[in-house]
Amino acid sequence: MRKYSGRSQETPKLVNNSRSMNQTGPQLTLTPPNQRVRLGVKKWLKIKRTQDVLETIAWATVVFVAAMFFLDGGITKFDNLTDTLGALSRLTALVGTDLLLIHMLLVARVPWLDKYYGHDRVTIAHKKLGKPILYIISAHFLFSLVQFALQDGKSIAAELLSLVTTVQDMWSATLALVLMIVVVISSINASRKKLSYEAWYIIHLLGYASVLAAVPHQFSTGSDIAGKPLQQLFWIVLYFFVALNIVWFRILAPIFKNLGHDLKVSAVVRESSDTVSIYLTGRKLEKLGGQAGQFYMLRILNKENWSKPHPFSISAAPNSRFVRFTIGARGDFTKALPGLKVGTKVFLEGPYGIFTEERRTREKVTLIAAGVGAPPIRALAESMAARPGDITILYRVRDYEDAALLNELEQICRHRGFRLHILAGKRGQAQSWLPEHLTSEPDQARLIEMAPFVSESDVYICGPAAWTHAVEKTLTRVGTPASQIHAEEFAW
Amino acid sequence: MRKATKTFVSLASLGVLLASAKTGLALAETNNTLATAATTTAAATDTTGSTSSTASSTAASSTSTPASSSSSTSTATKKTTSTTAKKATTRTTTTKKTTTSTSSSSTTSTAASVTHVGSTIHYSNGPAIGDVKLTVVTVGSKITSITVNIGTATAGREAAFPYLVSSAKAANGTSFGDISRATVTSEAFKQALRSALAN
Repeated sequence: MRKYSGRSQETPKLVNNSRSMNQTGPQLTLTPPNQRVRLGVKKWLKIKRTQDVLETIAWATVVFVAAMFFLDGGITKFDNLTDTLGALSRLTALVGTDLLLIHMLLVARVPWLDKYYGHDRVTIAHKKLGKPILYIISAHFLFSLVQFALQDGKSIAAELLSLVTTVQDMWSATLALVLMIVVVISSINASRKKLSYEAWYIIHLLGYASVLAAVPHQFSTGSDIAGKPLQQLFWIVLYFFVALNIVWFRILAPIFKNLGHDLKVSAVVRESSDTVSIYLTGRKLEKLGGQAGQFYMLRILNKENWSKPHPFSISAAPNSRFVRFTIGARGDFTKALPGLKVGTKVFLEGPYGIFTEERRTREKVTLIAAGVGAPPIRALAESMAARPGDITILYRVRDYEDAALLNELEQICRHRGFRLHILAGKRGQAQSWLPEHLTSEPDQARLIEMAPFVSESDVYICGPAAWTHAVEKTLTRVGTPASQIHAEEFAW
Repeated sequence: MRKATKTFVSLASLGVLLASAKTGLALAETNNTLATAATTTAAATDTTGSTSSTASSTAASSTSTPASSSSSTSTATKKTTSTTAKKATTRTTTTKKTTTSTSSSSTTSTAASVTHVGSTIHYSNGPAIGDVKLTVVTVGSKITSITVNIGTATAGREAAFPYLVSSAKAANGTSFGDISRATVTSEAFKQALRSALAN
């Protein structure tokens, strides 16, 4: 593992010439960059190894429940139709519940998952698991219903009625399934487009109710838990582990953190025609933690917005004076931000994400930003350990005159000796991520021209999804290994 | 997951699943033989020992061998009991003693052995309807025999009773899992067992 120190630098004042809105922001001072960083392939291997361990544990729980089912003689029950249905019903219930608990853990924003996968990949995994789990649990419902109906010689409807009304805890289990179906339907892409975020969020909270309603019938009527100490221990530990992680990391930890820091809006500054910076101050900001490139879920505690968290990257390296978000006007919430009153209290959840120097393994770095993706790139440029010439920055903007944070990036680059390329202009061909006037040559030729070390550097890309994918394609063409390409997907 | 880890983990889990399925199958077969053996022994000597049925049947045969001159088994049993009184108790004779006390439970009983007759539990919950009445013999706090006096159920769930009997004896009480597809019957059985033990 190689280490090296960046050159120590005095921190110069940046001239803040951005057009002021409510009031001028605090005089901008650069935070001293990180002095050292671990590099080398071992760092990457360590992350991969931990990912393998975590995934193996998750998979092992599924294998465990299935193996315990088989050990209990589950496989002998396949000799006639009703028995087969019963065995399948038990197996699908066990596997489905186990996956459901993993699914819930994935969205609890636990730091020990975020650190190794990043918020985006964890959320994508959560999304991917949703539908399969519903299918497995529904299969459990149908198998047991048909099995009971065949056994008692009743119609399906009559059997369902008698199960729900007479068997212990069965009504709440049925309710749980109905809730689960509602949650999944509200989350498929077609309905997400029609629902507002708030409506979807409230429906999604029913997922917790669904799991709680399903718990009793597993312990009271399930034949795979009661009286089997090992299984009992396994399920109780699993339930408690997931519940504690959710309650602590999702609810209590952010509350304690915000009580301690007492964050308020201290300034709102216009950065470009459609971008504003929000400065926050509070107590003991040096203890807030976080790294350049990470993001927070920001809630503005006023009447309209307290219930709506929005993710924003910090646009300046963490320091003891302020927390800054630079936000482009894209939706109703962001368009109203320039009117934000100074002194408004805010609530931060986070920091999250792995778009940080933690992922860096090479000496050279290429930072590539487009439009609204500039804030984390700006923070990384400020804080990364580097000697002059180590870092190359490409900044894609529509209009040179109206680019947020451009002035700051220029000053950082001038001061720290980094190369900065502004790619201003209209969009070129559909597949190109470069502006129109540069598309006379292939993207990869332009890229090597601007960033000669790109294939041996760590590349951090932040921008709209389609644009990011175009950049990634070009990077693959110039031979940058996938392990050195870092991009954060906006998965919310 | 990296490719190598993935291959390893999937092979390992396949192995675990196959092994557990096979062991489960083997275990289920032994259980079946045990249950059959237990019923046979019960029919012959009205006994189901707390130890494995093979042990009790060996015990029974060893009893009959020295007493082959005597005509009936009951005399043989009496003789052994007297032998036990005279000589030092061996492991086999202890087993025998239990067996004896169980078989003669209706008439005589050894100091430690108690017979509990439970009340009839009528259950009609949802798809299942029936009655359960149990007679339980305990030695100290150990359940040594459970006889199903009345055991009716719907849709072939009567088949659950032998399993319930062996589970109850293994658990020495009611803390064992309900049999799937016979949840209500299992619960009624447990209730009957509790009622018997309370008497």
